[in-house]
Amino acid sequence: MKHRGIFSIFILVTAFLYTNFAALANVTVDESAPAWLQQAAKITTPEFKKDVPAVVLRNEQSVNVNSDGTLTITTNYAVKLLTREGKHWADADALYLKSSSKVRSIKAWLIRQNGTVKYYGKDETLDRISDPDDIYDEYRVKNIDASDDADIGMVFGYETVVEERPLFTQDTFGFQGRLPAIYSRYALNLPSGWQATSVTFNRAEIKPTITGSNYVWELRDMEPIPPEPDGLSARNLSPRIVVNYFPPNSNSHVYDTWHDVSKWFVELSSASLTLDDEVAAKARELTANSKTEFEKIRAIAEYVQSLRYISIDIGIARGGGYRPRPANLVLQRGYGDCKDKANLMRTMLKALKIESYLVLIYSGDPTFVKPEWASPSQFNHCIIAVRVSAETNAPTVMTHEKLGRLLIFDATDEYTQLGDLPEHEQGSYALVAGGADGDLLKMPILPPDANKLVRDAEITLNGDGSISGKIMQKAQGQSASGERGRLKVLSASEYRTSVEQWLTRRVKGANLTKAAPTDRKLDNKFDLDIEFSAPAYAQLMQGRLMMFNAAMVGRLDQFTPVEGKRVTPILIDSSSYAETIKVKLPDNFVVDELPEPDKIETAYGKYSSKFEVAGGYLLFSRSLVLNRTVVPPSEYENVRNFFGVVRNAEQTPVVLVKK
Amino acid sequence: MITDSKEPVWNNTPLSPPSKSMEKRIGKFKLLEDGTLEGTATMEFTGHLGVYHKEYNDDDTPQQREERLKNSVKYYVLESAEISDISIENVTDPDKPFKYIFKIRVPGYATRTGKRIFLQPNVFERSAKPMFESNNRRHEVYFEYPYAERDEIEIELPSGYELENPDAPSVVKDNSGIVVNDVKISVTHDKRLLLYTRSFTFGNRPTLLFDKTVYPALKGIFQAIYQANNHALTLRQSAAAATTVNQ
Repeated sequence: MKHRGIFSIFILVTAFLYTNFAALANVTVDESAPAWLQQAAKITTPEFKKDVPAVVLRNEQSVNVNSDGTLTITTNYAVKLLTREGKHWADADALYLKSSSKVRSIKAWLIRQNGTVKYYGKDETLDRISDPDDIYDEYRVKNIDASDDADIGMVFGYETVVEERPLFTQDTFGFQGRLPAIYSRYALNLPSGWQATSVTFNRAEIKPTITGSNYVWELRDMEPIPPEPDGLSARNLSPRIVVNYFPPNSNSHVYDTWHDVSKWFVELSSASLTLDDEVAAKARELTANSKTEFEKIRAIAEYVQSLRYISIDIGIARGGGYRPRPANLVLQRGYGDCKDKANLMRTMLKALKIESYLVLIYSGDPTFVKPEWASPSQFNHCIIAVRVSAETNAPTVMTHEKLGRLLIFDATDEYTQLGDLPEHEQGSYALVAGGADGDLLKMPILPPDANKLVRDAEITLNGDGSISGKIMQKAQGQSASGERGRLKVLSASEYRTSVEQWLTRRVKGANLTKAAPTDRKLDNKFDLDIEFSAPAYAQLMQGRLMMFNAAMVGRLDQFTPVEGKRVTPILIDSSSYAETIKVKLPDNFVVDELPEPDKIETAYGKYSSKFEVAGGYLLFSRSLVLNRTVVPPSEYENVRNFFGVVRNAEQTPVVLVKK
Repeated sequence: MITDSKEPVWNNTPLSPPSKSMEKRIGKFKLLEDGTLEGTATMEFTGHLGVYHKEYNDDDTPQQREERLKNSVKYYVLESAEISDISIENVTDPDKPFKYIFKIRVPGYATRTGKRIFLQPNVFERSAKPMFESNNRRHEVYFEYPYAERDEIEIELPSGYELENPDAPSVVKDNSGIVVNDVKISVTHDKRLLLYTRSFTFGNRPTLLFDKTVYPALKGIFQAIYQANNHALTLRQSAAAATTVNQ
């Protein structure tokens, strides 16, 4: 969770979906299951597909807002385990901030099929750090894990009570995760005269029942959300409400517009823009040989990218999850998280009189941030927008009427070069923190040509079916980033093995004789040249027919079909691919059958392939262009058919016959 | 070591013969004109192979067991394979053979061109890889135990197509008789049903450890077996069918 530390408060808020509270101060503990859980356990659940591991019987969160702004959050949660995998849901978490919140109570019960109950209390509660990958983290978790005791058919339920002081008078509640849910309820109990507004995502509007200052949102009978390849995140598929609440005649800490959020964030982060002599000197040193504006920015960008990523989460309750550390401190220490890196880059650019802005974004799902709800809670990552002159051109430059031409860059992603942007951030709404001029902007989606893979192969096919040859592959943009990352993460022998595995996937028994990667980082390109031979690539039949597939390596489609009906949308990323394969045919054979050429064009992509024979050579060429599209599941069959055409070209052989 | 207070005796523990550790695969399939293959399959494992599969599956849930089978079939047959009506027998029975029975449908199983269909009759080996891929070997090669494989496959051929000069691969065996792979292919009188059998045994002599110097020869023989198992037949559109289409 590389970016988790930055806006950890968001996690705190959402984690409360799964926590709850029970009454405190009981001298004696009642170990019998509470009435709500006993009632939930009696619910007859519908039949689900056999891969559904559990069903949520009740997911209830009640938030009491006290007049001093503190919250008491009670969660009641019951889940019925349907398969052995479902045992893992017999687990209760109450997340809390060591400095500003308290878990008043956490209790759980396991109701066996024979009706007997096992109680879990203090003695079974573990208190641990929330993210073991963090150097230091104020977040902690109280946990009850009953999975070892649980089995199919049992019902696990828990109650948690957490007290906290929120950073924002905003909240969010997910009515379900991937599991089906029978009943889900969110109650907001405000002090007299306070009011709340809500927005519903991923579902038609869920209207609250309002009694005085008490609001209740409910939902029933939610179908499971299965994990599907090339899909959106579960949080972006399940029904969710976001809530703003405020006292009479006030809107403190509630943001009416994205400009308000921008102003808040600029105020919070501006003190970290600490440009001292050391930072300025480093900026000058890094750019000493840079001639253009782009080269200067790139020199700074590469330095900041090279700093070690370390997240230390402190001061979360006071906005520490959003506030970068002072730039001079990050420079001295040589490490930081995403907001620290972006802020250091911003400060160094300031030393060069280049203006820039921090950008809040959600990393992981480009469709997650919704413009309808102005809130810092929607983000989990920080990148940068650099104001550039007309001399700087790159696919990631966008124009804003007030902030000017902005070059968007992720200083944390160590493999994506300046002028490029990680795929999962392209097209996402992000907040460019330019004070009052700041705005929620849609990040650029790079054209397919900016994420390109070009392959050229020269192959000799012999009369015994063996082949030898070379493949020259040139990757650009995100395709190059992926290759760059693979080269960096793997050892030399591991990298060679990975190339060998890629090659032998289709060319069985291939002997790789050369694998030469070249990272052309400054051009955002990555080349790979390979040479190989294979003893029996083409199949000889009855001594007179020879059959082989002209598409020798890699699959173009990157598409994994699902069994049965697709339930969730398909996310197709922007990319392009071109391949030319030249095969020298054996002298004593002639072509008997060639595959038909293909051509298909849709809103999300186009594909074409063709075969030619000339001068003893077979020429196979094909190209694929995909446009960034979120395709609804109702159009799944069309997508499947499109990629089916691509796949067919890989599977239809060329047939040669002996002269 | 057989212990004795005066004179302990060293001896090799006996190896079970290949036939005691058998993987037997039976398939009854139908090939459709578009290259789709569908039918039922049974896979049965005895001896060491049975123990291996039981060990792998006994702690899994039924769903995990099915998932393991599906992944395995997609890997060895074809990624497009759709498996249903799965029965997994004797997972925890120490005596009876471990057994899979399932229905299978594989779109794009056979390769179609304009006038031909290329069919690999050994369905179970459709996407298998050669046992040894690397050209070099740093250490000895060790097989854990002698084992055998037996495939019995029937494929109903699509109407309108007939076998074009059908042939079968030769028997593959080494000079010492350690490895034998024997494939037999025939067709019924009406030419509609293809019958395929394959018998493979390894360890007919008690040699399980091979020095790296014999690796090229070992790789060569397993490559030959791989090619024999991947032997493909050609179905050509019959003249009658072509005439019908043309009419």
